[in-house]
Amino acid sequence: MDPSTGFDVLPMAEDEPGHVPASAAFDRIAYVLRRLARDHKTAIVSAVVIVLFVLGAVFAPVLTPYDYNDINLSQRLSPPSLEHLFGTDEGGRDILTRMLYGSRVSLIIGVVPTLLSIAAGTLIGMVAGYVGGKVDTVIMRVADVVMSFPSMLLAMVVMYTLGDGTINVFFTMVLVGWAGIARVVRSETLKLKEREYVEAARIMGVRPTRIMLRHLLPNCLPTIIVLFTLEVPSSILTESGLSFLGMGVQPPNASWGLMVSAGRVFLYHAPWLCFAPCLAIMVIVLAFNYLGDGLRDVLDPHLQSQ
Amino acid sequence: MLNSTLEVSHLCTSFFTDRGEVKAVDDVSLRVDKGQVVGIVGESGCGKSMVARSVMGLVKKPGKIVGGSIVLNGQELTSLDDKELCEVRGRDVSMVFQEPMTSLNPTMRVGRQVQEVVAIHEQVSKEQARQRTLEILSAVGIPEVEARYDAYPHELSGGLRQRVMIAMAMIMRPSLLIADEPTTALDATVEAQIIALLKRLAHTGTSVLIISHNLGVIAQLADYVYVMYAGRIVEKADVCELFDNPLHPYTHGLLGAVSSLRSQSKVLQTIPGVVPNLANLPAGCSFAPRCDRCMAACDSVRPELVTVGAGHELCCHLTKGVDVL
Repeated sequence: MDPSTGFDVLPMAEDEPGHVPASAAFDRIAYVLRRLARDHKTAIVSAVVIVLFVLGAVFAPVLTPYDYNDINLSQRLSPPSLEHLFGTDEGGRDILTRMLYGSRVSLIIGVVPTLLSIAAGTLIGMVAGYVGGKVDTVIMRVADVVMSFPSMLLAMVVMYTLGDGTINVFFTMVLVGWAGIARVVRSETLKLKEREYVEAARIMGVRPTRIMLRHLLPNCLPTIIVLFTLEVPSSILTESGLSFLGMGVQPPNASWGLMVSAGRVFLYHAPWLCFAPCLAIMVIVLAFNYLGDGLRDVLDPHLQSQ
Repeated sequence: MLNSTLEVSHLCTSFFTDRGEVKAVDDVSLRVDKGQVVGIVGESGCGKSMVARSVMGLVKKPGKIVGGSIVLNGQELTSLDDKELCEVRGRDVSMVFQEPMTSLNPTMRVGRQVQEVVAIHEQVSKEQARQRTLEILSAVGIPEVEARYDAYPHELSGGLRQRVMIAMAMIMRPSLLIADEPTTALDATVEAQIIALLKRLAHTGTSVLIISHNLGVIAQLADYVYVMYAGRIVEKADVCELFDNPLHPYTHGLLGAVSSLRSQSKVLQTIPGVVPNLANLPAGCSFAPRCDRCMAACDSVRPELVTVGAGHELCCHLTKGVDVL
């Protein structure tokens, strides 16, 4: 009899084949990176691209000799050259400079409201899914109402009421964005709460809040990461749309969406006006998607062993 | 004063569906004494697992406990609210499932999962909780516990996972462990190890309620056996008595369906038909449509449990004056 546990110490289990030796004190981040480097090289490249974009946004003043609003009418609509790598726009402003400054707006508006609406949507969706019953019905009908409006129209109404400004753009995008996320997280929660390990946790006396945080949330994470990577580009596009309609970022400030809509007029004479910001949007959208894919594969423990 | 760990009396658990009330558990009484291993047998859908879920207070909607009482260590469980039940679960009573592959959270290291149980029931330091987790993991026979503590469930084999589950269930030293088909998903050698482990637990004073459709497992483990059919108990007896002298035709059928090395007949018996729809039970004995010894009374009058021997009760019309096998 083992005095500490009061149990007879049992014969050890045969070391059955099929288990990997457990890795004690593994540095999780290093592990994730190593796995990404091995199996998901595109994800690493995407991460690098995203980091480059972020660095470009942060160090914009250092990277370019021009200001984003340096008007030089003698140089207007000049094609890409060594002096102006991406050319200039109708005011003779350097497009590369405007893109670097514009990426500040686009990236912040792409990431921050998305994080906020994911936080809100996850909380709401998880509570709805786990608690069920009337709470679920009420929350989901509200979400249905939000989703039944065209999101752009709803965003415009909110922006019109609140007036423009970055904080209001954030608020608007969270107000529009949480519903879709709540729906996905709710359905994921409904699926996961029937799993036996959730049942087991309840049997061991784990409280509902802890079950949601410790048992449901980590298992929803792969889905949430994918949602994030899909929502960031769509947020960038929503911001572009709002800016295009004159409700988001105001000229002379730059954002990619604003630059695309401004360059539209000159599409036939000076395609580089649209080309550069469109390329930037495409690259960042793809980068987020690939990164999300890679992360989902690595973070999902079911796939880890394969 | 009391030596019964669990006393369930006249438990009724029903599901309220569109087609009316379905009695999944109908007037079931059972008793588990301290350190005793009690088995419940029956085929799929007979209400075995619902008894366990009722005891744990985990009957899902539209199901509900509609009557009876469940007393654990002198405490009535049916009147507790959710918060109080959370305290009882894991500490006084816990449960092990059939499927060790899915009953551990794939995103948590197994050690942390076991430790969580201590953390929610007791105020202990992280180091103490970890120490206790390591002790219980080695007590259930897991080798290299230090390394296994940090393993994810997918890194462990089925047998090891079931041991982790048992460790998780046992770490608070509950007075009652419910094992719902604990070995069904495991292969025969691992099954033997897990049975040995459960036996040891019972010897240390933990009462075990084991639910199985495998009579072999019941024969090896249980001291006392309840046979369930269609939500009711049809026969209960001491394990030796039940295997030597089965009285209910259903118990006969179950025993006849077990393969044996010494069996003379070449073909295993089967019980014809399936468990009747619980929403639409026959008026008389619910086993009557499948029973090969069915009499006139069986179709109209519902039999009650009557004592037929020492600790042996039977719910069958055959007891009344008719010569039973």
